[in-house]
Amino acid sequence: MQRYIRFPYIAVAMGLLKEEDRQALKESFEKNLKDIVEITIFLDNEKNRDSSNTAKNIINELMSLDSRIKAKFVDARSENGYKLLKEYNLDIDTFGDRRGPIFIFNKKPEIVYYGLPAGWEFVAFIEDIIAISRNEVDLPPKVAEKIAKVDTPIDIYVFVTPECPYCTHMTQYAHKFAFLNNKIRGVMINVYEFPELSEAFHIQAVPKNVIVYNGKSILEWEGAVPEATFVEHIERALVDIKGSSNKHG
Amino acid sequence: MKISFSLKNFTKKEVLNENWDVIIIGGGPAGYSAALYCGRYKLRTLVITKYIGGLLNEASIVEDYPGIKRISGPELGRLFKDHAEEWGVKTLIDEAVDVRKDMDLFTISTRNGYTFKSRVIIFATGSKRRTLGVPGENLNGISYCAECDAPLYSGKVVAVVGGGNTAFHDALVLSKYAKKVYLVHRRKKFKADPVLVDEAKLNSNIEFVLNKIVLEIKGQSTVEKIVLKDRDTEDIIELDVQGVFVAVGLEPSTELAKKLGVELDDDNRIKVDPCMKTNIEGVFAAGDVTSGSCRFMQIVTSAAEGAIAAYNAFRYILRKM
Repeated sequence: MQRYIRFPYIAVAMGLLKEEDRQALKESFEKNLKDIVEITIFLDNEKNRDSSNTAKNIINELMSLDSRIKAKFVDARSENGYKLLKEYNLDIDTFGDRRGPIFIFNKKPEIVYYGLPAGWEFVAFIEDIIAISRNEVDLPPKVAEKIAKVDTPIDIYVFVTPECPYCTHMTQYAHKFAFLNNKIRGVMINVYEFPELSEAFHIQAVPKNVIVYNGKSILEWEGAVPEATFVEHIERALVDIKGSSNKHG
Repeated sequence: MKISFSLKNFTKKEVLNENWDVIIIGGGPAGYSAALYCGRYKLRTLVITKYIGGLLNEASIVEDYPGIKRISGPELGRLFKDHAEEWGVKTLIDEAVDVRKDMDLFTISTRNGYTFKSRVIIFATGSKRRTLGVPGENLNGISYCAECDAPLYSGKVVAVVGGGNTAFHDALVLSKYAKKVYLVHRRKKFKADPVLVDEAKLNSNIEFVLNKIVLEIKGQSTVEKIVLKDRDTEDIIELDVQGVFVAVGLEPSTELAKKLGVELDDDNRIKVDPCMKTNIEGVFAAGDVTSGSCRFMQIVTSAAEGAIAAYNAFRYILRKM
């Protein structure tokens, strides 16, 4: 049974953004973008057709605002598409086999969106575009130092709803960590579009943040926290991971 | 519901100075109203806040802020911020963890490791939701933010505990998604605004469960039942629910003020005079965290207190110059 209500996503050709937001974005891109940003978007027209269409439309709209934003749309249901999904190690929805919409940045494939960066999450997506284009990210120095030291490959899943104003902070932090250190992969997961994956992680409040190692949850908590507290959670998870590998090794 | 892509949370990034005239701790209506006025007084003003908007983030609709007929809480919070920032105010998303006074200067440290100095501090730290304090409150399926989590309870049965405006707001938000919403209240009458009570009464999937206190929330790892006791008969009943939304009031966030030696009243609120001054020179307070405005905690009263605090902070700085 599907637990989560799904938006009746309206597939509109263009015009997802308000005119004032289009203008603000155009100015911001003009001022802030440096290098080309390439985004790969996996689409699943079988299981998430409406949101895959919306994904295509919003990216097309962003591309129309600045030529430095480039996109490649991949049919995740095609043989090649699925192969690419696996190459990027993005087949994490083993529960519902939903293959899109999934967004990754080619230069930083550790920054991932499972589902639309809609509602309050949209800002995180724009921040990512700017960070990747400029090849810089702002984090408090003490936090950045600790993130740089992470030497174990972990995923951070941030489960969100587009209505949650707190959630985007966690997406942004997870993505900044992933930007700084490629041992960390930051995955925003929109619970509407990935209901089975969300169910598997018992999502009953958002943001829910899960530190994952080898596909298994090591540490999880609900709610938004500042970057420094987020890093403390990561450090605790790493102690657990290392402790358990020592035991078994 | 149409999908939207909003830019309302976009924060400009810049390197922040170390020295400020005013540091405001808290970014809700009180904090940003104070910030707006400080900005207009040309004071170098920094707002340090964990989230933009404070508790406004948990209000799906605001209909009682004069001049704005209807707006979502988070959106109003961003409007407050944008307005203040037009007047040169800066924002840092972080948590202030320590404030010390040395002569006429305050030193503020944050969770992320920053340190700032300021001539004035305005506490606008607001309040947070009170917990129930019953067994089972750590289970999955307990929520304090209907705005964030209501869609996760589509087709489910949930309980909202409380009888004030927040409880009714939560019940009404949840009623759009849940199959059934029990509104559990310990009294027979509600203290919520009549307009909210009437709206809930008209809602066929909200059921009032009155005169009951919560004894326990049961479940393996997630919420399965809520156990209630009738206050008159002492009968115990169990309701099958998959989620419990706690709205039993707010408690002021005064930890930091207390650390600095700011005087609190018996309800743990910051004691302020009509000019929003506290017992410590150079320290002002505004909004839900104070004992002001007859404790009528509204956006409009918070905003007014913020403006008064800013005005008196300005006068204080002038005097010290």
